[in-house]
Amino acid sequence: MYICIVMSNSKLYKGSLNTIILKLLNENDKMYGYEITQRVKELTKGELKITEGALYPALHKLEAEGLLDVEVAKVDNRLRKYYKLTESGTKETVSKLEELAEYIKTMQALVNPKLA
Amino acid sequence: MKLTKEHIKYVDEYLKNQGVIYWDVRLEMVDHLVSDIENYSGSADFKAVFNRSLQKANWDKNLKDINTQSWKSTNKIYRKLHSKEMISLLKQPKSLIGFILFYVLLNRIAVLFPENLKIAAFIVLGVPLLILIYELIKSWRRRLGKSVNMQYGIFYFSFGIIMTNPLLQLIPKPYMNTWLPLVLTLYLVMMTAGYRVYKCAFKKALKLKGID
Repeated sequence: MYICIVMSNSKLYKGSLNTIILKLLNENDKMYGYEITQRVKELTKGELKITEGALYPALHKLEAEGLLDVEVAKVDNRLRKYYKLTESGTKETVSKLEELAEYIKTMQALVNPKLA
Repeated sequence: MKLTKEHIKYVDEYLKNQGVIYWDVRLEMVDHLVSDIENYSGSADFKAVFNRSLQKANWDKNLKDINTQSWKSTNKIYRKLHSKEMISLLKQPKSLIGFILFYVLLNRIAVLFPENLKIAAFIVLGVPLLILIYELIKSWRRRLGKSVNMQYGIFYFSFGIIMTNPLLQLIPKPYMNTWLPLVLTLYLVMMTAGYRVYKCAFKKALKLKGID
């Protein structure tokens, strides 16, 4: 039963992955991959788990689109790749969040018309 | 659990042996796994925790697939960049005028001094090749190793040569003087865009290596 809930949630969250990443980076100066997965887990109390197979390709795509910039720093004997928002990334975050809010509003109207 | 330099090397070697051949792909994976192991607060030994982290990340199998996937997505990024650079070169008035003047010059040579067109063609084809060789030596001296970014940087730099060669073979000899200036101008556009892509890849590889 638990697996089913996680799987159906994953499908619903899939389209929002970029928005989640952008929102987190908007709130933090810079973040690295593992930190993003942990932060999402923490914020959603373990309800949402971003898989590594989805996170890194999404980060690379956002980087290629010029929405993210990369910084590399040496941390405890290894190199760490940090991501941060570019100027256009910050603008895109605002528009993506507006888009998401609109989507939630529409869904609310469909699922629970009294609350909409 | 704090990891030593040897532990980190072990993680990197493991990923390499399992098929993740590019260091710039492994870099993020190593940091992810090491961070997860270091976050572990139990009493299990390093290898057990490492295997647990591999399973958690779903990296305990199909590592060759991850390598291929990164290879494909990097190609997509550089292919897009190459097209973007070509369009930007043709949109910039300065470079566009430069290419038109280059075409006109070659065309004049073809009409007024057809015997010299071959020499001009060799120079046009040869100069970017020399630059490519120079850049390859430069990157080799920086010891950048097996990098997916560098691989595509070099590929798109030489893309002009790959594309021009069959075109030159296809032109019938009697029409060579008419078509050669156009093909060479196209070659120059592709090589200039390729050079810009290569520079971008080189800069990125240096950045990821932490030596920029």
